[in-house]
Amino acid sequence: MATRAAMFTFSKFRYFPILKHRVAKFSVSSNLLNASALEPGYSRDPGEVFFKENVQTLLERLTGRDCDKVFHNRKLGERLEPPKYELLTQAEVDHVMAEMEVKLKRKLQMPPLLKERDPIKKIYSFNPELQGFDDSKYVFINISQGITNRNREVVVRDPNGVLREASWEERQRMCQIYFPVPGRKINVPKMFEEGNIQNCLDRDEFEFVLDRACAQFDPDDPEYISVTRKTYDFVDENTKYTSLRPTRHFGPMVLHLVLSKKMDNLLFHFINTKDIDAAANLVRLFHTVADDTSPTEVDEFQLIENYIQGPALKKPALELAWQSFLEIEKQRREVHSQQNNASN
Amino acid sequence: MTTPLVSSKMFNPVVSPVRHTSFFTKLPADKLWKGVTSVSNAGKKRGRGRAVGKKTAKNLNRGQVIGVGKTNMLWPGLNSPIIQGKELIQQQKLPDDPEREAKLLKLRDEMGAFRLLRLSPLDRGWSGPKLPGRSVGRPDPVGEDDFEGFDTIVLEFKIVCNMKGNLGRTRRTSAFVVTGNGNGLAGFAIGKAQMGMTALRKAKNRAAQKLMYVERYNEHTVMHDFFTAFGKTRVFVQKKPEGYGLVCHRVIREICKAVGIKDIYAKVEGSTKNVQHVAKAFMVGLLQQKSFEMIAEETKLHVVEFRKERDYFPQIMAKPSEVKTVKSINDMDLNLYLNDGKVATKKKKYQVNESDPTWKNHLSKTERFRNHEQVRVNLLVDHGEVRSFLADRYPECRQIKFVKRREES
Repeated sequence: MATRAAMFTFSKFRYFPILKHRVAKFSVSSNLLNASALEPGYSRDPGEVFFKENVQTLLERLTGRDCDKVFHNRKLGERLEPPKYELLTQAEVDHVMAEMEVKLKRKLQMPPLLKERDPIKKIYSFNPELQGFDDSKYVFINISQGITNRNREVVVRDPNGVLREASWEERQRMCQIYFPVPGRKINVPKMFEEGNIQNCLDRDEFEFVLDRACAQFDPDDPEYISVTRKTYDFVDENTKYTSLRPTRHFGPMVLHLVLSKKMDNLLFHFINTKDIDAAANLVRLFHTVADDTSPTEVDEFQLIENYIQGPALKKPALELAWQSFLEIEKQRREVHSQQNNASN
Repeated sequence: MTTPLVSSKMFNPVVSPVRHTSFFTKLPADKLWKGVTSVSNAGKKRGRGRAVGKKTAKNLNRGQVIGVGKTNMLWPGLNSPIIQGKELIQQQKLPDDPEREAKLLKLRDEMGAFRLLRLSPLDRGWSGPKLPGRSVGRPDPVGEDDFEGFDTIVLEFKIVCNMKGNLGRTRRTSAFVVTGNGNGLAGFAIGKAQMGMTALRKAKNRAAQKLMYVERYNEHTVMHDFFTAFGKTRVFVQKKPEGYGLVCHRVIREICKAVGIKDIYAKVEGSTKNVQHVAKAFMVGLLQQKSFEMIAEETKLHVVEFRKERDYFPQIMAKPSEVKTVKSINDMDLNLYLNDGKVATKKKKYQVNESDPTWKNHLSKTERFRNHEQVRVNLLVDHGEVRSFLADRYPECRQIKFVKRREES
């Protein structure tokens, strides 16, 4: 396929003087982003851990599957339609349910947890004779079909005569103009600004924030990383795990907490809600992330106890919760056996 | 003849006729007042004195008493007894009453033009000051039951006649009302009486004795689409999503409010002016609705709901006790099954003829506005105002915003 390059001419820029302003904005935001690049205190590269098969299975198990929650009523921003009804035989019901299973899997696919991308600094050529040819940049983009936006060639000729590869922000902007991604805006929505995002979080709109961040940014975009990490930490601090539990964002959140050594609150929550399977899986995930080993203990109770006695950071609280859980479990078993004896 | 002559005629008395009696002196005050302010019987028959907003005469004598005036004086024998105990009361001036004047003026202001009782626009009926469409309160309590939460709406209020051998044409008022608690219970009835208010009361209390329970879907709409008819009135009812509202005949709308249905579309065909038939047809349709369990049992099939906002997740609404494996033709669609295979004709959607010159003309005129709405929204999202792309360079070029003037309290 022939390569077709679209070019912004001088006249075109003249008609959009606002564009120059936005170009200036890029540099401002990139400065902001550099500050956040230092932020995540991970022990390892999250991408390396995230894509491991056993980590994926553990995260999937931790997420769980609840059709009612995954397919809950969403605000689509359009007029509601009356529901449709069908009369189905058992075979047909099984068929639609199987289709739903596929859909559910797709809906629960987790957005990856990655480290920040490196800024692009590639310079193709420097032609001093072109210096001051114009007061605007020229941006060239290859708009051929069959190339992913990640691999698309976007180059910029700066007014100082440098021909360089476009920065991530310029690239995303150009790609959004020619190949719009649904749900993504050219300018970053105001929702993601400092005060506004806090407002959203205070209103418990975690899923909405994370979904919109997924639509707006690439997963290794520094802004995506800062928004999602902020949301995860907020959920963790306020122990509102149930609001994210059966969504695709629960897995990355758990991995984030484990990687940044903040999983004790979550473990405490699992023990308090008597979700021992999830607690054991969380401990398994901890071991996998820490040293790529799967723990030898088979018994879930033993596994959790070993963690609490060993590497746990919030020992006193966890021990207390664990003891009270064991107590209740013991009582429950006694009552159960008594009932069995009585019925026998 | 130069001497002035004094004519004897100059001293003749001028005789002018004087009438010492008139109807002012002949008639008492109340008759005079009536004569000025009222309309004669013959005039009433011709419709005189019924003009809307007419100014009526003010009786300035009202509130005034002989002996009481601007100056507050004590006149023994006129406005006070002459002797109090053993003392003779002297004529004297009392301190002025400052409120007297104001009271008189207020009394006079209250007279004058007759004003209708002001109803809130939401409480008014369908048309003018008439009763249909208006609420007449909850039914009268029966023993313990005081019909808490019920409301009654008049649907029809008319005069009906009957010929009798000895009395001739006898007139009565007929009231047709619906009462309900907005939560599934509703009833309607007719009441007839000589007096309108009696008819209303009769109808209201009869309706309260004929309450019916109507099943609703999620307490906001009907269970399913249905067709119903009574006499020449045919009604097509459609289930609608939340927020749609009541888009239907006004009689059906009032019944829906009484029952507690909030979202519905209903099309009335045939006789639409026969209020009683419309009400009866709709009510019969509501009562004949089938629950999902009934449909599942009758068809021996699963009833499955698909909603767009749930991404078409198949929600099983009802399971039959035994499931059949082969479907009949009517099972292909729920409406087909509910209507025994009959399909309501739908109006064909108007299709634009692309080569039509008037369509082309319309396009050429409206083309430049086609994206305005979206552009406005985007500008509001990005900048908080609708502005030109030159606003950065010329900040003084701003759209003048409409600011509501605050009322000074």
